[in-house]
Amino acid sequence: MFTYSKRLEDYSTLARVLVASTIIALLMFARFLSRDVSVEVTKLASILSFELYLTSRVRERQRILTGLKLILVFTIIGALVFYLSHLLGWLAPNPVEIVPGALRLVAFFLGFSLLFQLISLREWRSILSKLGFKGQALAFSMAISQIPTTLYYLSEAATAIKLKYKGKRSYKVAVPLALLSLLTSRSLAESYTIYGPPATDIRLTTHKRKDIYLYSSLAVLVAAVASIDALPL
Amino acid sequence: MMGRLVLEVSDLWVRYPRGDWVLRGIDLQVNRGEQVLVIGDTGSGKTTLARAITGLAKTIYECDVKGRILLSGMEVDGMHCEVLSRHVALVGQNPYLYFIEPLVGDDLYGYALKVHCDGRLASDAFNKVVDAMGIRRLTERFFFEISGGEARRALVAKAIISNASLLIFDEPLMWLDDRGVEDFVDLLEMLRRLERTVMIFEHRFVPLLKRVDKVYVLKDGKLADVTSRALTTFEKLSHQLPHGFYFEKKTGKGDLLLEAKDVYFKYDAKGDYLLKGIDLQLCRGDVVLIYGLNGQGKTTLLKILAGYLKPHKGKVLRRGSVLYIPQNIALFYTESTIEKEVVEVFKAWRMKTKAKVGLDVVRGLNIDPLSSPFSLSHGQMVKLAVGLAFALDVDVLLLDEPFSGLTYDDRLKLLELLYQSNSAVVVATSSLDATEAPYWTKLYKLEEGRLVEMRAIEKASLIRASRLYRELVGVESA
Repeated sequence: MFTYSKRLEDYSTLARVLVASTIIALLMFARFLSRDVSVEVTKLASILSFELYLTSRVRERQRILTGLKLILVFTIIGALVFYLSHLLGWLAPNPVEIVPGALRLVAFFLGFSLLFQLISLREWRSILSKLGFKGQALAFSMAISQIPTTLYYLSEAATAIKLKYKGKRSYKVAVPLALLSLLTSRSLAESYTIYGPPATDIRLTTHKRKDIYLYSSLAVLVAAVASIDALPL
Repeated sequence: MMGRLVLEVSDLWVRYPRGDWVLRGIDLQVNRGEQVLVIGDTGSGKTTLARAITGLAKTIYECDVKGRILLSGMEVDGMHCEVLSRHVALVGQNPYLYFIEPLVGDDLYGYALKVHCDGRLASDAFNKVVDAMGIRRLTERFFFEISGGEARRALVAKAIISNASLLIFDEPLMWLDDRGVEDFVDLLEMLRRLERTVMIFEHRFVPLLKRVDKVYVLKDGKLADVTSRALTTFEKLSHQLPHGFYFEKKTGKGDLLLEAKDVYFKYDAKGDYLLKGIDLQLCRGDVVLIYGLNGQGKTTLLKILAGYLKPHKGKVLRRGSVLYIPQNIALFYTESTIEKEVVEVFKAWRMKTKAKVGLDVVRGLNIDPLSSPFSLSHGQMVKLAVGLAFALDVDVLLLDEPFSGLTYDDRLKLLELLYQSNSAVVVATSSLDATEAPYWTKLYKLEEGRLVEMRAIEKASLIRASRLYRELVGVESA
């Protein structure tokens, strides 16, 4: 979900950056500037539909289903929290808030994933370097590049520690992972010293013929989200 | 073929901050086109020597380095890393750490562009190495999706882009399956044709012994040339011990502890099954080996046996406690000291009062209980985990690739330890090295999702390799 897809390379870098960042901005807008829950849910549903549409352009159907499954998972988790809180006598969250909470989480998750699906790491590095953050851009790329292997290690450590502590103290999984990250950072420093950062001759484009389609659909989304406040919901 | 000196090391001494000297007066000369193998015990300083030659010992590890290292006649000390990278390239133990761009092709091209500073030259260099290494099909793939062998091949392509005069491989066979080892041997032949100078630091040296020009042993901080002794000893042992013999099959000695019945598993709901109809019975005293190449589902099977993953079809019945020791052994440890590790784990197993037994095991392994588990060598970490498992009276012990990173001698000793246990032990491995040892009660091969019993040993000899190791290195591992 966080890897770049070349399927949208017909659009300019600027258009892709604008689309991804506008989605995040709209999510913030929906979160903080909605007059009530039903309005926020409607906005979130619109944004989520657009996110799923974009995801469908860059990924196979299977990935989109994964996105939809996430909504279900978070809704179930929310419901479980509600019932557990109720059983234990804690201050339970309003069940009406569970659905927008789940939607919000998934919409933000997909929104952030689009930042990496639509824009390549090389483009990010180039953009950040042009903004004067060259060192940070490289550190960011290196950190991102290690996420898949870290996830694999997490599964390994979780299996070992679950059995070692008889299903208790699962939080201890963080210890070897943190240490491994330290060791990895040293090895990464070795690799960086020897090979250095890869150069890039990538061109950051500001306009391409097809951009108009992307801008049009984004404009429709922005208009829809902005007008929802006016609806008598 | 040979001639000009590529590497000249004289009276090299290296020590880490606040540490004792690891290398004590190393002298070494490597000529252009030579392939040199350096073997040695765990902690003997092989990686330190590689770090010193690549200049990393000083720049990254702040080591105290005395003596002289010349690469193509130029002093390494004080050489800028940009310049150094034109003379020496390192292919480290974990090849996945050497990629920054997610796509292999982007990463290689980015490095070519960095080296050549010109798009056309970079493209030429990129295409040349990609074709020479036969990795065209990998260029459009993410580096984290390719196998260890493929990642190493791609990294070698990266290493030769800069035309570095010396290529250093630090434990290149670690985590490679038997096919990966064959690939690496082919790769060495290819590098020989390209007249590249190669230095290899490796524990699992037998497959390389006849392929290299020189063999050195690193011991007590000194390097000794053992080329002719290595070859004659290898030949002598080949005649003394049969190349492959049938193992002495022993059945399980006790009650049934774990049973997998017709287990099917797949990660992707729409994909093919990774495991198909697995049947396995583990009795007390069983020492079972599951052999399979990388990607065949060995780790997945262990996780299913451990109860971490649920089979899609079939079932696993566990009639006792289970412990899983991962391939990356550092992931097993969680505490700041070994003593704490023992106390915590015994507490979790409701055996707090027996923690002394665990501490005795630690002392029996000549390990200081007050030291950090993370300061141990890979081999010590594996042995400690196994020792703790036996002290806890674990019923079923699952080990994923426990031999990676161990010397042949340590592998044999670990096997002896496993054989003596009263638990049921399952070892998953991608190397046939260990299959000949007469300690297995059952041998299986995991291939195309099916688990089939292996009736005979196919090749390799851990016993011979272990004897060869002892003769050359002259140490009895702790």
